[in-house]
Amino acid sequence: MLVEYLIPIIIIMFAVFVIIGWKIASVGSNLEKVIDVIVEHFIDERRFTIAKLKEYSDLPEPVIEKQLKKLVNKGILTTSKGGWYRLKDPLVFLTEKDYIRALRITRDDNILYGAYQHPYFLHIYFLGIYGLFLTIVAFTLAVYFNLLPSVRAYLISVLPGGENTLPVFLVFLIAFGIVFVDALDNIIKGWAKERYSVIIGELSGISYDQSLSDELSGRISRGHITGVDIQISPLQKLFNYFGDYPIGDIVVKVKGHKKPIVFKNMPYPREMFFVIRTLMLGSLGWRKRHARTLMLWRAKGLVPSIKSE
Amino acid sequence: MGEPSEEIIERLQTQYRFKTSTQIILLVIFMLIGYFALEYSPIPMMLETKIKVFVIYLALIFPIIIKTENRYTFSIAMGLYGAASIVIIIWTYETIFVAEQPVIGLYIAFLEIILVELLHHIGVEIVPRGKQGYIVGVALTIVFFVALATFLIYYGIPILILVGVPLSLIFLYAILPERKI
Repeated sequence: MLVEYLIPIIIIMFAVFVIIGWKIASVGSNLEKVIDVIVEHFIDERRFTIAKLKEYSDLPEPVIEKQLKKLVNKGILTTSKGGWYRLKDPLVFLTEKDYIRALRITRDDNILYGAYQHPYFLHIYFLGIYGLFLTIVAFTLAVYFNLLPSVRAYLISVLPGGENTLPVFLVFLIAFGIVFVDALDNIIKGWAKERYSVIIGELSGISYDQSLSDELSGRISRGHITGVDIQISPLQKLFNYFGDYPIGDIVVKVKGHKKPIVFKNMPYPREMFFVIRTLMLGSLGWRKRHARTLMLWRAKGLVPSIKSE
Repeated sequence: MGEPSEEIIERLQTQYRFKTSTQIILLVIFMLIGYFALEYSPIPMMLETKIKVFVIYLALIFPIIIKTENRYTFSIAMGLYGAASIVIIIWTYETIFVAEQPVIGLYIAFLEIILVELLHHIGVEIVPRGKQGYIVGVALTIVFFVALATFLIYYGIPILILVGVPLSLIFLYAILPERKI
């Protein structure tokens, strides 16, 4: 295609998708209204119903229900029998199943932070994901540029259409390599965080799994935490600059233990550090003050502009 | 140490990433690297090809380098996705497309993967969570399987089942909504 046609097509497509992106990224006034009602009236409630929300909102019930469904899908709210909703703290990244397990084991404590430590995450991840994909690309290029003549000849002999089909087959191979790596990414992440939950409760302190089949047998009560520290290695720092979400190690010093307990590759380690610090200091004021911003962030995956106080 | 409250909110995301200005400078540096690599490439390329490669390159590096999450950066990433998608379609159609029955299916399967994965790369889940997501996921997988089947049928029904079904299931597993954290 000629440059005279190509450039206008690229510009038009860019503009159309910018507009689509702008529409997708809007929070929506109804969602904002529902979040406002929850933050103003129900942040300290154990649970609430749509009827209760309706008392503070002029939105019709089906609209409220739709917005609540969105918040449930984003993992901000959790539902229970009888049409009850419960607000999760914004730094709780557990699955619904693990959140219920955490509530049960901590005897319905107010869970301030919940996530999975990834003990083996980075090394397996980089090796599995990038190593495999680079191998597929290298193989494809080697076949295309005839560096593996026997493989190339074999492929031409078995492909319908012979040499004409080879380029399509090779680009499909690379594309499927991407899909395979994406599926592998899901498996590694799912496996790495299968059961290594770390939960910080307002009263129960830190509870954590010590093995894959564990039921939060690791416990550090609030009074036994003598110190907390963050450690971010150069590899983690690099991952934090360009990865999906930030990770780091959290070192907790415990009364009576010679060795500190290290939680590896925790998501949002600084936030976890400050939650532990607030637990030690007994101050939870930040939660109430910043709940709205944090909920909007979780609802859209975008950080809203933050007003400094 | 100051009161933890302010620090928690201020440090959310931003403290882990480069400053926005640094991200922009990095992007410009990588754009220049891309430009010079194409300009002085040992492989001779026409201007159209250079433009196409550059647009795809930009769509790939933008979400990796720009980590400031807001409506503006998301919209730009989406714009680059749209531009890169049309470039990929035009380019592959012009260079590798063969209008023969089995290859058309393979080409459609390739395009479906690339467009879905590129969208995933910029952080958009084409398959949302919940029932609706599973319906979209299954519909995309059926399109993928049918496209692949038109190619694999050339080798017979057993190969179609032995290869087509596992590949389609891997495709479905890859596009299902995942928890990032």
